Amino acid sequence: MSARPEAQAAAPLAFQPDESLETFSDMLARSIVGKAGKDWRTELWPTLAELGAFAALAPEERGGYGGAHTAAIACRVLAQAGIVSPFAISAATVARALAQIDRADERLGTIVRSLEDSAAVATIALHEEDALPSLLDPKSVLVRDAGGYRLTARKRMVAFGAEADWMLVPVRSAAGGTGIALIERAKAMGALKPCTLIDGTPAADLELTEYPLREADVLATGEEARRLLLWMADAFAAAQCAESVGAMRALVNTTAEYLGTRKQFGQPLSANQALRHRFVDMEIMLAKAETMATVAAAAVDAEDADDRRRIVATARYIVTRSAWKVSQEALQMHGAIGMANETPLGRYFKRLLALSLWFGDEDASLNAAFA
Amino acid sequence: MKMTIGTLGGTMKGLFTPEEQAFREEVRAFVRENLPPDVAERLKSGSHPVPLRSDVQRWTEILHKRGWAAYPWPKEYGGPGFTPVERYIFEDECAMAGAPELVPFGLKMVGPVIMKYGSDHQKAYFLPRIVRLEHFWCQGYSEPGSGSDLASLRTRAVLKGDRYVVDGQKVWTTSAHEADWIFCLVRTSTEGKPQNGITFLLIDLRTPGITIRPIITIDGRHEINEVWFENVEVPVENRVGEEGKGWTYAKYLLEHERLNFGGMGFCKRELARLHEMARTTMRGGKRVIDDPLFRTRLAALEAELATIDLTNLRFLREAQAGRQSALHAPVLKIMSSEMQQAISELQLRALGTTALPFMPSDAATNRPHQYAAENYCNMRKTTIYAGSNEIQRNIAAKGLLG
Ligand SMILES: Cc1cc2nc3c(=O)[nH]c(=O)nc-3n(C[C@H](O)[C@H](O)[C@H](O)COP(=O)(O)OP(=O)(O)OC[C@H]3O[C@@H](n4cnc5c(N)ncnc54)[C@H](O)[C@@H]3O)c2cc1C
Repeated sequence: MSARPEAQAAAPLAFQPDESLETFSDMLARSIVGKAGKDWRTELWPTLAELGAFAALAPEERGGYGGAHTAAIACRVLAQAGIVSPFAISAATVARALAQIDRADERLGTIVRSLEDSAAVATIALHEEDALPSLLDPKSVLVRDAGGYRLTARKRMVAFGAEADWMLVPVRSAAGGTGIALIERAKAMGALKPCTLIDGTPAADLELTEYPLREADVLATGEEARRLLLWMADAFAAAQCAESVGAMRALVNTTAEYLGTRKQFGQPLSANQALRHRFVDMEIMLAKAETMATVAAAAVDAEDADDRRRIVATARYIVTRSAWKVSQEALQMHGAIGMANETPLGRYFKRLLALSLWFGDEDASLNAAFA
Repeated sequence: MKMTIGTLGGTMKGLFTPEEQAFREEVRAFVRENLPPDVAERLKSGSHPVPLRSDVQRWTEILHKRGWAAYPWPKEYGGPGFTPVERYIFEDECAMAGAPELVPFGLKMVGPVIMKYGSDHQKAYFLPRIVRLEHFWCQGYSEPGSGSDLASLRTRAVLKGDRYVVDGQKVWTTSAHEADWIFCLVRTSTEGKPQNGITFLLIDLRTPGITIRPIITIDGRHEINEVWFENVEVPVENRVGEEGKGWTYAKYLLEHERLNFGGMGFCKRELARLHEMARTTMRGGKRVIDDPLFRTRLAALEAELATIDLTNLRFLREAQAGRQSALHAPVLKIMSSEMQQAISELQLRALGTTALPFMPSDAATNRPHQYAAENYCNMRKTTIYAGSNEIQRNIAAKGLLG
């Protein structure tokens, strides 16, 4: 049975319980048990496709439902299960951005369709040298050439860079304009240098010098490129907020269980008031993060660029602040076992660490919220 | 931005006597001339939160020639007989310059216990070997079921003739894989209060029946272990003091361990690294150190570190004048461990995504990497070990509120 939400006219209200989405979330959670740490392409992707997780994110006219809201639910459930996959960056971000490009381009249409039916995976090169994403003013340059372009690019730790079939590369033209170039992995393998991030995310550095591109490989320029890049940054940040909430939920649940079962001085740890209060504070921080992650998802589809940026940045500030604190407290309350790499706890701890840095720490989000 | 704490490296007036000031200069000059640059470089790169045994060995030998290898010890046992403040200055200068910390398990833990409670033979045999690091020690206290509640420990030792036969398991044992000897708390009786059935044994790790298994920590490194004992025979002369009195000796040691928790030199070295990270990392096209929010965090951190450093010094002055307070040990442990974590957290914030690649073998596109994320993970240990901060707060509260 497919849990794919039925096509409906409107996305649900932000906090309104929605049966169709709840069913989706429950079935998703059940069907991914035990898939953490396994190969996402063979183990996870078919399951997600079967449940309609990709198709749900397509535009409504192609049967999608709930947009960023549905994406957030999937991201949260996946992260809570400890899964590291390109769902957030590919399905929730790049695929949905490419679907917004209104152009008669057969190849682009094919790529979008292959992303929506999970046959392909795409990513975006967010970072260069700078610790924050370099989207609108990258140093990577695109120069006109007879019949096309030449791209010189240095991109750092592109998530799933060596695994994704397609990579979007933010560039600037010699004149300083913004653009988005499309790179096909099959043709650029030699330019990719893989690495692993602290949370286990596979990534790759990209280094291209005067790499030839055709006209059609430049997907957008100028205002359209700007609009798409800003949308992707917000969509990805919102998806990561949802992932953070999932990882925090896992840590809070694990901690509750541990406090109840670990005994010292003849009683469970949960008998110590000092720990009880701190545990409640963890739940409070998580509650705030849940609220704001939901709001961020709602803003991705509903708001104009300025308001969206402010809302997502504010949400990310709250979520990131909670993520630091919740992960630190969960580890502390586990004692030494929390330091052991063997337990899932450490993986969630590092997941939250990484999620809290992609777009800078909470200070960076606070800055963005007020900019 | 100038490091406020830099002025505390002995230059602020009214904190140290002229003799102490001269001593600081002497240590500084010695370290500058004798610390091997590659050893310092390894620590300053952040790649080794626990220094390599080979590096500690080299530095120990260098200090030994100068008579400083047993720097925390009194003269009668081969130490230089430093005052508490001299010791603080010594550690400060060594750590800031990037010298590896000497093995605390021998020098600061089992050494003082042997001095106070050991037999003449134990003193004559073990103490000189600790000084030259001929014996690298580790500490076998914690067990899977006994962490904060250490007195519940279950590793059994049964006296058979002139040997104890030890069975059980220790866990989280720092450096057991590099060590030669382990000092253990073992249960010799299940009668009466649990504290009364504990005995303090010195065990040669080469004894048959001991198995050491690595535990990899979340930063991906190997510094702690499981240590299993199966029919391990320990000569009775390797018991410290009396049977059943191990808890008394352990409490003495724990006090020693906590009073020694200062770690201010380490904090200052990490602060210097933090400054470098903030100067060399770009965030939004600006150097991180020029970011107003970051600067606020950095200034607050430095004010805090200066305060802790000075409080540490104040406690030492008071102790030197015979005015010890039961609060000193728990307060120092709490302040220092939380400061170590705060610095590592700000390092991670300074580097941001630059810190994300895990232990890169080829850090070409990611220089300077500095292991900030790995070390942030690693530093979480400081509020857990050596008596967790919750237990320290319980101790302090008991002292204050009854
Ligand atoms: C990196 C590292 C190195 C170590 N090295 C050594 C070593 O070399 N030798 C050795 O013997 N041990 C070592 N330890 C173990 C360390 O001493 C123990 O981890 C510590 O005593 C805490 O015990 P636990 O981990 O079992 O946590 P638990 O005692 O199970 O405690 C879990 C959590 O509950 C809290 N808690 C427990 N009781 C109370 C209470 N009554 N009130 C409030 N909160 C409470 C604790 O503070 C902690 O946050 C090391 C630990 C680490 C992490």
